[in-house]
Amino acid sequence: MAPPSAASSRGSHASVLILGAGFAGASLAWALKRWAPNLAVTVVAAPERYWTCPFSNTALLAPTDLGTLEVRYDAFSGAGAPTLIRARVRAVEPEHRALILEDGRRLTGDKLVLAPGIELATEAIDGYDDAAAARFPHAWEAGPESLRLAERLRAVPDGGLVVMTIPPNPYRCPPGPYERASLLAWWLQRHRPRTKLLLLDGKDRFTKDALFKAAWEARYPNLEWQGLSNGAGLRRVDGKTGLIETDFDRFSPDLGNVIPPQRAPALLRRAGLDGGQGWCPIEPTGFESPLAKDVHILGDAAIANPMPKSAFAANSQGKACAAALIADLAGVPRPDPILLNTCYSLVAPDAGIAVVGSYAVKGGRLESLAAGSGLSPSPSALGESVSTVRGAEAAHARGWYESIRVDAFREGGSRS
Amino acid sequence: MARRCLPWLALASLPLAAPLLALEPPSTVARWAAACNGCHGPEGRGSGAMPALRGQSADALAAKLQQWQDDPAAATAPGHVMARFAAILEPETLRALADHYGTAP
Ligand SMILES: Cc1cc2nc3c(=O)[nH]c(=O)nc-3n(C[C@H](O)[C@H](O)[C@H](O)COP(=O)(O)OP(=O)(O)OC[C@H]3O[C@@H](n4cnc5c(N)ncnc54)[C@H](O)[C@@H]3O)c2cc1C
Ligand code: HEC
Repeated sequence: MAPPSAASSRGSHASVLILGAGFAGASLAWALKRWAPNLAVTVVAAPERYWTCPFSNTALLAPTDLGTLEVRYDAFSGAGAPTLIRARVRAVEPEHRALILEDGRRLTGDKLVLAPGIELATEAIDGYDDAAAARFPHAWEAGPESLRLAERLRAVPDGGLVVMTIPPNPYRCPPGPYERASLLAWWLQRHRPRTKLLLLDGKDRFTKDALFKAAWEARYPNLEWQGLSNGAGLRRVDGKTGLIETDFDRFSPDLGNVIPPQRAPALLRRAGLDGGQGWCPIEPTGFESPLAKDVHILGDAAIANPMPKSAFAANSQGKACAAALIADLAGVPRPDPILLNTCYSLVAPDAGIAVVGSYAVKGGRLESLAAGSGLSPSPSALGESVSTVRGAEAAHARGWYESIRVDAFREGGSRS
Repeated sequence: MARRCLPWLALASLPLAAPLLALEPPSTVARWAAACNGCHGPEGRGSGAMPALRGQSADALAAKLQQWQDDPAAATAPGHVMARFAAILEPETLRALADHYGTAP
């Protein structure tokens, strides 16, 4: 054990209060307990059950797998664990580093970290109401919604039409809609061979688009993608009649999967932490809010671009923030953050592609490192080995998912 | 740590500001290893198709990372992910990570 330095004495009784036990909040909590076991770490997460979004697209193909997505938080009751409080937070007071719980309790910490994920901005879609939400399940928060979408898929007749609407940037999991589309097309091809899948996209370019489009071209004649310039921008939905209207056209699909635009949860915006931008700005060495001292914001809710809103990025930010918080509390300079991302996507259950990013702080801003960033090779570069390589990356995607669940939530050996 | 042996009452009467254990930010290699373990499994012991790093020889691990650094053509799949991460490792970090996971020759 390293000898304590003079500067660090102040921090030993310090406390960190975290909102959210998703990929960002849970990763942060465990990294803190690992690197600073004496730090008091409290995590508040909503009482509802939590399912991981990663691999929820695959669960649409086999809904019985949905249960395997659930995180049970068993490790949080063990010795040396962060304290987990299952309660809904009603308000944030950044100036006091305080959380107000729904039952009236008020918690504070020397550091407050906010990682509550996203909120759906449904009012951005004309006509979106409860009927529309029920008719067009988004399944952009995994769980019962995913099950509903899987059930509705099975009710689609052969020769029918399935429509997905995809929001403009930024939103949770940039490649997620295209992975979902690939897997839906794969399922339809096998079970509803005459049914068409139409993607209506609120943008013209998307992450890994050349790789996705090459896979669709090779595999899925049943899938058609239309971008914003094709008039695919979403205008209006009608949950009662089942109508989906774009700039140029109207559709009455047998199944509509409308993925609404998103933003930081109201909790953070009401506290002024988004500076009116919808998402919360941060400074990248420690993900501290420029609007509130000792308040840090991680994961999907933060503006961390060029990092995407992914579970991988949230986990990486959690670890980087842990090191920064310990440095702050010890009164020493923050280390340069190590920030990485890899988004694996399945273009079929046995075929994966990846986008890799590495990031560094330059001039106070987060930038991509060119040498540490890139994509899976194109089919033309791979030639005959394309299916072997895509198969290997699908296996790596599953390996990553197993790792990250243990890493973020300290789930036991049962999955390994 | 010696304070842990004091009788409970003495411990309870310590002034709040007294440190039980000082805070020390994690080392560079500890922070990098935490990043690697996100794919390579707990303590780098592997996870499904993600290869185990722990238990391999340190020199073999270093050689593999070095090879990715030296040969950009190695950035072909499925090693393209690793080639990118290897590319941004400083030489001393690369060696420290190999020693962290690896066994002595
Ligand atoms: C279909 C789909 C597929 C995806 N696939 C991948 C993938 O393959 N790889 C990848 O890296 N990413 C993937 N993602 C993205 C990933 O799910 C998110 O980026 C990630 O969950 C963000 O983590 P977070 O901690 O910021 O938020 P979340 O995981 O949403 O966690 C939020 C936490 O905050 C809590 N919370 C929120 N509000 C309150 C409140 N008021 N009171 C108390 N607690 C509250 C919640 O209970 C929860 O614990 C996918 C997303 C989708 C939708
Ligand atoms: C995004 C996931 C991911 C991350 C993060 C990652 N790796 Fe890897 N690593 C892989 C994959 C996938 C392979 C297998 C590559 C192949 O088969 O060509 C691999 C292979 C390796 C190998 C070769 C092992 C062998 O037995 O051949 C070494 C060494 C290695 N990684 C070290 C590291 C180190 C050190 C880090 C942290 C700096 C790291 N990896 C981070 C995915 C990752």
